Amino acid sequence: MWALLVLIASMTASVQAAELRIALQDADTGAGVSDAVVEVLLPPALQQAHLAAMEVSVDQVEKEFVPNVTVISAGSRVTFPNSDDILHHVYSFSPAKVFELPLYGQGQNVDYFETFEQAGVVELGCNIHDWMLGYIYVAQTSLAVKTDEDGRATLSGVPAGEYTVRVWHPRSASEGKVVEQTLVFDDAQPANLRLALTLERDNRLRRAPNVSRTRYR
Amino acid sequence: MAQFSFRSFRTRLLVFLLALMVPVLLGIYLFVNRENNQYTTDTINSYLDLGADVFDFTREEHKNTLLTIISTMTRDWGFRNAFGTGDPYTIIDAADNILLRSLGAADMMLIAAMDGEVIIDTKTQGFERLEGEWLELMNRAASSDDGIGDAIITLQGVPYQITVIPLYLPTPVAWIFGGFPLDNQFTDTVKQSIVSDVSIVEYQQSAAGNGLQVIASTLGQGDQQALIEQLQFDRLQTQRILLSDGEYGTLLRPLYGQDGDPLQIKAVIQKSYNENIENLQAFQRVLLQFYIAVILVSLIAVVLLARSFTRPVLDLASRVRRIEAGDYGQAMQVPGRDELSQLASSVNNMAAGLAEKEKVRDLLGKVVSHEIAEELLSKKIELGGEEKVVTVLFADIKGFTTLCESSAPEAVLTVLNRYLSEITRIIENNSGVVDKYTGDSVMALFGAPLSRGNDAENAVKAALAIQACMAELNAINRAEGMALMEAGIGIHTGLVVAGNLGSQNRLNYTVIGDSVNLAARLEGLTRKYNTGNIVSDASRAQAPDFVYRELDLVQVAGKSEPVRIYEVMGEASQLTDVRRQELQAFADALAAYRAQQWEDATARFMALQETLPSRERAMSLYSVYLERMEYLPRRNLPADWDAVFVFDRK
Repeated sequence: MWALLVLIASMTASVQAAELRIALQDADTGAGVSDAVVEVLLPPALQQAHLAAMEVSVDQVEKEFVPNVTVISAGSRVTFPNSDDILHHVYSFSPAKVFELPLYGQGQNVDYFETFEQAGVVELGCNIHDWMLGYIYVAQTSLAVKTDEDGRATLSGVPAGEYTVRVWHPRSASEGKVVEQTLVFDDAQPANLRLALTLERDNRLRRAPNVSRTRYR
Repeated sequence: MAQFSFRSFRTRLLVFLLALMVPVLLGIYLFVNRENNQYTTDTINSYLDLGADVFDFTREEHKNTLLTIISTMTRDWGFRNAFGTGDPYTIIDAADNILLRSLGAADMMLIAAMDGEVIIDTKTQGFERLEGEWLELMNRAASSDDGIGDAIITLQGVPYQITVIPLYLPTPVAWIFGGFPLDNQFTDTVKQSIVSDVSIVEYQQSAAGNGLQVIASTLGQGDQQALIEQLQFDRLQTQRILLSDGEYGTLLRPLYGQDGDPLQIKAVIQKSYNENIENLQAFQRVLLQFYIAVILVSLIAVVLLARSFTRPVLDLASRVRRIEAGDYGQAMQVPGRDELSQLASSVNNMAAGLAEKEKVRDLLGKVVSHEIAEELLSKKIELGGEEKVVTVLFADIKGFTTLCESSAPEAVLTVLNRYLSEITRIIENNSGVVDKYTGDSVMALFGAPLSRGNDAENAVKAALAIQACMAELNAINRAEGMALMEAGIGIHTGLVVAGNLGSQNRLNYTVIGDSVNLAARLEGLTRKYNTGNIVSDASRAQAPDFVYRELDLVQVAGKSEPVRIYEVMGEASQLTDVRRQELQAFADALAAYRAQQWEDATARFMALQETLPSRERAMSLYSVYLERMEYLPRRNLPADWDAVFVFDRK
């Protein structure tokens, strides 16, 4: 079961552009939830007007993907440089983007970009380091933002109207790890999204996983 | 009730030893046996406990190996790629590939999506979504910290050890179940570790009846059947089950299900008592052999001991019997310083003492007469004596001096011994005792040490016998060309002192006194009177049944009283008439002599002299009186002349 609690949804209608102010809390601890992605889902007709392809970099530093969660719009290009002095093998079997960058080291693949056309969540792994896990959130448009350490984020340039707002987090206990909510945006005043997210415990494999357990009775 | 007695010391020792040893040995045997049985049971129990632990350990190890293999293999890039294709045929091939690579550690693989939808199943069990125990296992793994779980699940009738682990791509995208069957191969593997038989037994409650079934086993078919028939499935303590080659300690370990569940699977660990019993029996055999050896050695030792004891005892006994019979024999040697050798030593000493005594008695009988020897041996020997009336006989061999001059000393001794032996024999035959030999004369006692009542008579008889014997001995001498002998015998009866004479260290039993001297004098007088014997009046009075002729009335040297002396002529019946007339004529002549009727007396003696052969006339009794009467009439004899002839020299 998952729980979603909507606290406040105040809206001011505007035909021009509206602003979305986001504050996410951990339902259990009350702390801000970072690395959550909030996307305003526009109807297909409006999407093209709000889509701008990007070029971003997901670095690999000390056997971790940095940043751990990257938000891009569909059609953006991502490069995966290797800042470590060992080799990495980046892969994804996510339906949104299946790709791999076989073993490469520092300085290699610096100019190589993967293009993420399809919206969705791409889970990044390294075949050498099983515990390395990174996410690329491919949004339908550019109206998507990642919360900061305090669980806050601001999204501007949202056209006035009533849209579904999707909130995704890697550890969200919700179905498909997303929570969706319909908000009305107008120009007069920013829309506020305050959510308390129920998070699962960190299911990531710990470093140097102790697979060969020696528990005998 | 008959008293039981041992026939030999050896038997007694043997029975004693056996009575002592057998209960002890038996007790030890039973104790060892009991301890060994207990030890065997304990050993088997600990074997089984250990075996059960090792069984669990082995299963755990197998499980971990399985987990390791599944975990490692599924992170293989090839498998990730294959899984990434999403194509079930590719994935099932990749799974089969992993099973092949596991070298038998894994036998089946099932991959399900995170929501439980079956993606592939190498055993093609047919369900599209996880169900039952599979679903329970998945949920248990999902709620665990590390997403790992395990269970025993019966799969197509075979219990499988199943583990489950998520497939990370890189986040968990699927559940990978891997498993191996608890089959004969598994039991064989475990058996190698625990050196015990292992079976997997399933209990199934069904409408047809509750039944046990062996799913896997290291036992043969027959033993599996025996196991099923005897096994108490709900008993967790060690039980004993009889298989084809003996009893097995049997311990159960639950694998699946709990008491009361319709389906239960348990592992059966079994260890034969035989191995330990074989050791036990080997030990018993060794123990028995040892016992036999101990008993044999003991028996031999006892026999030797008994022999070392009984042989000297038997020897001693026969020695004592021989001693009893008078054979003192060789001294017996028993080495050592024990009681037996002390006893043998005592017997030897006793025999030596007896032999010594016998020797003394023998020697005594030779040195002194038999009676004196007995007297000496029967009483305490001490100096001193007793007064008693004894007849003393002196016998002297006349003509011996002539023999000494004419013959070699050896011949003289031979002849002398011959005469003395005869004289001695005669004396002893007549109850006399030879007191001593003095040169060619013999002193004999009649009435000492023992009186026979007719001692004088015996002495007279002896004297007559000696005189008769001289004729026989002379016949021998004549044949050998030796000089002829005559005996002179003096006999007197009177009071003497009889006893041991001499010093404290050297004694003689003898008699002393005037009577002895007188007897000696009388013997000497036979030379004067030319008679064979002279018997004193005292003796004649004690032996009146013989014929005597009075010879004279004499006063011998050292004696004041005159003694009437006689010559014994023989027993009355043996005397011829001529002899009687001669004796009467002598008596008449003697009477005339005493009456100083010298002429008449001379005539009478002359007439008697005429009866003798001419060569004997000069040395006859008659000539003695004829010579006297040549000078007596010229002497001035007193009026009361008593006709006593005085011998003032010895």
